[in-house]
This record gives sequence, C-alpha cells and structure tokens, in this order.
Amino acid sequence: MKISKIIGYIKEVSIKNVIFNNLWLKLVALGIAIITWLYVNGELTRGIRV
Amino acid sequence: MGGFLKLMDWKAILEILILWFVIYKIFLFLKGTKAVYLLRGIVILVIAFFVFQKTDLYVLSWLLTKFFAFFLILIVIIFQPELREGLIRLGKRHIFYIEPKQEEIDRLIRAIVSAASIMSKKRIGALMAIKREIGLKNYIESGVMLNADITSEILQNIFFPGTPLHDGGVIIDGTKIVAAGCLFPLTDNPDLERAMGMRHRAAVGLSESSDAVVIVVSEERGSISLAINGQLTKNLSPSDLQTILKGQLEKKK
Repeated sequence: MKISKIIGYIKEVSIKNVIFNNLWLKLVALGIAIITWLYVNGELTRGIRV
Repeated sequence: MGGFLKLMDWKAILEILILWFVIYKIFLFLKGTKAVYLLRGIVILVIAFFVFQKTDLYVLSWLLTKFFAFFLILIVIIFQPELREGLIRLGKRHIFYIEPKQEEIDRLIRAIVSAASIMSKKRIGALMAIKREIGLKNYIESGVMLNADITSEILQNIFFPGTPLHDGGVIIDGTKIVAAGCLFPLTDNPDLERAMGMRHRAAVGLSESSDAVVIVVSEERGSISLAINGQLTKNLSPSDLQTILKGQLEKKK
C-alpha cells in the first residue's frame, strides 16, 4: 500500500468520530468487560488457592 | 483501587481490551433489533447477580446461577434470528472477492442515480440492491435471472408499473443487473416507522442480513432512501445519493 493512500485513509477517519460514535455503548461495554474480567479473575485465583 | 491497579499487567489489559471489543461488537450487532430489549433484561439480571454475590445473599445468588444455566439454552432459542444473521455475515465473506474497477463503479452509480431520480419524479416505486462482499444467491434465486448490463433505461423499464418484474427487487452485481423480481427478507426492526411500506422494510431487511447497499424509491411520496447495515437514510436528493454511493462503493479500494 502506498504511503499517500495510508495518509488519505488516516485523514478520512476522524479521531473525533472514532471516539464519540456510540460513546455510551462503548462505555457500557468497557464497564461490563472490566467487571467480567475482575469476576472471572477472582474466581480463578480462588480456585487456584483452594 | 490500588488492588485493582496491582492486578493490571499487560496480559490483563489485553484480555480486557479483547473482551471490550467483543462485547461492543455484540452490542452494535444487536442495536436496533428486538433483541436489545432482552439484552437490557439480561444486563439487569447480571448486575443483580453481582450485587447478590457482594452482599452475600447466597440463596438469591444460587437461584440466579441456576437460572443462568437454563437461560443459556433460552438465549440460543430467543436470539436465533440474530445468531443466524451473524453467522451468515461471518461465513459468507468471499475470500476471492474481486473489487470492481473505478469506471465500472462510476457507470453503476450514474445509472442508479439517474434511474432513481427519474422514478422519484414519476412516483414509480423501486427497490435496488447492490451486492458487495456477501453473496446474495438465495435472493437471486427467488427472482428472474437477467444478467443485463446496467443502464438507467433498463432499471426504469423493470420498475414500470404493470410490468411482470416491477414488484420485487433488483440485484446488481458489478455492472450487471443479475436478477429482477427478487424477494428480500422483511425487517422486524421495531424502531422503523409504521408508515414505512413493505419496500422499505424489505430494503432494511436485506441490509441487515447482508452488506448490500439497498436503494428504495417510494411509490407514495416519490422519496429516495438508502439502507446500509440495517440503517435507513430517508429523503435523499439525487446528489446525496450519488455522494453516499460513491463513499460506500469506493470505500474498499
């Protein structure tokens, strides 16, 4: 891929849009991801200790 | 907070990021479908489960654990249409997809915009789907094979009221009108206006179950609409249509 094409693509994708599109959905998904990870991690470490 | 940060190494962050991406994609996929209401219910149950766990309410927590096991089977049944569409999207990507040439795209856009603009003025209903990466064989088989080079005149002729093929949708692949009179799946999106007719429901339905770009011309209002990924953009002018089509069809170059 040519460098000009890559630069064109970067210009096309607005960082503002990437962050703020479906922001609520992203935040809820992040919250659920963290809670799930903490819960599973907790269960696994408890299992290892037992 | 300190304990949480202590747990965080690069592997943990990577795992959370992957989880986040998967959950976000599932949310995006379910957005605008009936399943979103069920998802809200599930989120409430999950929160309740964590609260019961943290507050040592063992009986309620045990009941919810048993309920979740049963619920997994229930989810497969309830979310069956969404799961099916998701698997279709995953599995039907063509490995050897050949991207159309620029002049072919230009010709295609010119023909569609011209036909849509004329049919909109004459209040002739039309439904045109442009195939992208996901195959539309099932829907092509429901219509009449044409394999005709695309021109504005042929499109207008197909949708002219009273002609045998005017009722279904047209499927376009590259610069060919592959089939006409095709039956598209109707959406059951509850957010779609009740005033939207079958043509618009079919357009949204096809765009939900494939990556096709679907153009609708309303018979009643003469308006031009466009459905992509289950989202309907209404009341487009011919120049708007041209701009969006260019953006969508040239995007993958």
